[in-house]
Amino acid sequence: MSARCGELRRILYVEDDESIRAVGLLVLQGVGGFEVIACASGEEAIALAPGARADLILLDVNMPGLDGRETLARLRALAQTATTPVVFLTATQQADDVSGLLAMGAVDVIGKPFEPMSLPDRLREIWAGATAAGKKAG
Amino acid sequence: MAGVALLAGAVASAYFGLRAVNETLRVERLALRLFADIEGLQGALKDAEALESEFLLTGEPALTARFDTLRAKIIAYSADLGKRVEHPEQRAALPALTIALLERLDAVTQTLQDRNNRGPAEALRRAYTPDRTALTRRAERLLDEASKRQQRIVAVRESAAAEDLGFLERGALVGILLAIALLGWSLRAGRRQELAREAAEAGLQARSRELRLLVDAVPAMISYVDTAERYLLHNRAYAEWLGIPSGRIDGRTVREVVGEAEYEQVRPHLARALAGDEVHYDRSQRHADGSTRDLAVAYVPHFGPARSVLGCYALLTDITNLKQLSRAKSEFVSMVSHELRTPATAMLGALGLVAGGAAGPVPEPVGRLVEIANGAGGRLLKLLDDILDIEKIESGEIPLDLRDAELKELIEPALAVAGPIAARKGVHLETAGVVPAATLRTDAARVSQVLGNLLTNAIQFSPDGAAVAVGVQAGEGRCRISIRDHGPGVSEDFRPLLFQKFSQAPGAERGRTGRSGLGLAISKMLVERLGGRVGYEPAASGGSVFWFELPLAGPGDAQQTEAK
Repeated sequence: MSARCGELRRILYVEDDESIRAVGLLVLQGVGGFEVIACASGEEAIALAPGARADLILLDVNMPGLDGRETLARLRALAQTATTPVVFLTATQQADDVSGLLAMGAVDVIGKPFEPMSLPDRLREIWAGATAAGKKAG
Repeated sequence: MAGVALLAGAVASAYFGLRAVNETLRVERLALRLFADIEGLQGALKDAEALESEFLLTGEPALTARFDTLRAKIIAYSADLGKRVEHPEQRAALPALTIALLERLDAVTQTLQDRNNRGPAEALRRAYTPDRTALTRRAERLLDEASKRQQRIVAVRESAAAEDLGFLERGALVGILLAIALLGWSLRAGRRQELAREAAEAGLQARSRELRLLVDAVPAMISYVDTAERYLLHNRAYAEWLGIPSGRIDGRTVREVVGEAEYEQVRPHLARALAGDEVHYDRSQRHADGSTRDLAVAYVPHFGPARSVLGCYALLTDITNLKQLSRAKSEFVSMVSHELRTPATAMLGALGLVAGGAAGPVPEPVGRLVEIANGAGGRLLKLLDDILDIEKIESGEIPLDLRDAELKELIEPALAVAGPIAARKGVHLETAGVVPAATLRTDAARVSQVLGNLLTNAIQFSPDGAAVAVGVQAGEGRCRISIRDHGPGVSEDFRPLLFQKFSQAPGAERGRTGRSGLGLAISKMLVERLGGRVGYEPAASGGSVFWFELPLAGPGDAQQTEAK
């Protein structure tokens, strides 16, 4: 994967709400300058993920059909995305929910609403931390 | 007891002279017996009158039956009297007395009938006519005269006997007199007691029937078990709940009645109650219809003398519907706040992008409008968070993360968060004095939330350029954190509403202060959950002091945590 040499470039972004997805795309592409593959559902993400070659997956939790948790489990079962860092986006405020999401193997959880201008930098930090940890563990 | 002892003494003293005076006393005994009979008759007549007035007042049917018994007794007495009277003077007076008694009894019978047929008011009117009163007086007077006459006869006989007999015999006579008088007294007292007991028993039975009706009508399950966990009492709802015929509960143990699985749930609580503690807990239990229901259970120990536990009462209330309602409310609140958060995310994201210049340069008036929209969106979110918080605290679902924390560690993060807000308003944020070194066992995040709320309030109500001071004291197992501002203060009228939900001080502009009206209510709830208290007092030189107190960590804390 192209970015393994030190830069976060390509993000698979999964969000069912159209308005949030539009804003998210503007943030990630416009502010962050990332390549973004946007999906409107967990099912779509599973279909696109193997060919997407994403450095990071940004995944909404609450979605109809396959929700974020189930999508994460399926992504982990795919060879191409078995170790890709996943960051959850969630509107939940409950601490126990957040720790549950981390326990599932997500590298971080970002609350909604997010601060649009600083989100890209935050994702870069998270990704850097995750890949450093991954290398150490590897 | 004293009467019995006296009686025994009298009989003993009488024993020595008994043989000598035997014959003389045969007659005397009869006279005295007669005396006792007259007294008995007086008593019975008084009882009949008491019964008459009681019936007038209450109309209780059981009283009529009791009157019939009493009437029969009185007639039997007067018949006995006729047989025993030997003295000519007494014999002459007897017919008038008997007639007066019978008339009086007839009058009572009439009153009882009047009460039944014409109602209490009419019966009362008829019962207390001058004729009736005169009749009562006559019967009483005749009885009284007969009693006095008999006393006199006895006295005359006694003095005659005293002349005949010596000192010893007199002693015996006095002894026997005393014995017989006591005997008569105790017999009469016995008769009285018997009547009183009958009345008490009838009353008790009526009470017990009423209580039974009441206990069965209560829409809760009630039972009573003794220290061997054996049922002595239960109401209809209890039997219906278990689906067990009522006759198969009392006398059996809890384990036998509710079954092994339920008993395991009940056992520790029941044991505590039978050790003398009042116990409250919730549990789910299978209903006779097969469904699982939620129960609120209360065990109240029943104490005997010297606080020994005799058993315990159990009160079980079906709270399944309440629980469902409470769950539905919680779900609704979280659903709504979550659903509102989704469009807010898109809205604030879009506004943030515009304000951040991601969509190109923003002309000044547009920038101002975007700032207003952004601020309002932020308030909306704060309100959602606060509502969710309140809901969780009220439903007891808020998890507290209790750890040891230094007082300093609790204060500093809140000051750091409030700093920029104060700076924007030109307010000086300062710590008054040194933060004492003290450890609290508490939820640091929640304490910071409370302090943050109070600080934000103080800053928002401060005039530009004023100071907000945080003071911290520790001692006597508690610490107090107070926040002093130089704002307008809180009017006396508003003070009682200060910590209530959605209360906004009059004159506070919502738009300007950006408050939801929930911050102080949440602070109060949180502090109380953490074992402390909050308060307000006006500052001496104008402005307000808001404070909260929390318990310091003590040696008992580790133990308490284990107990939980």
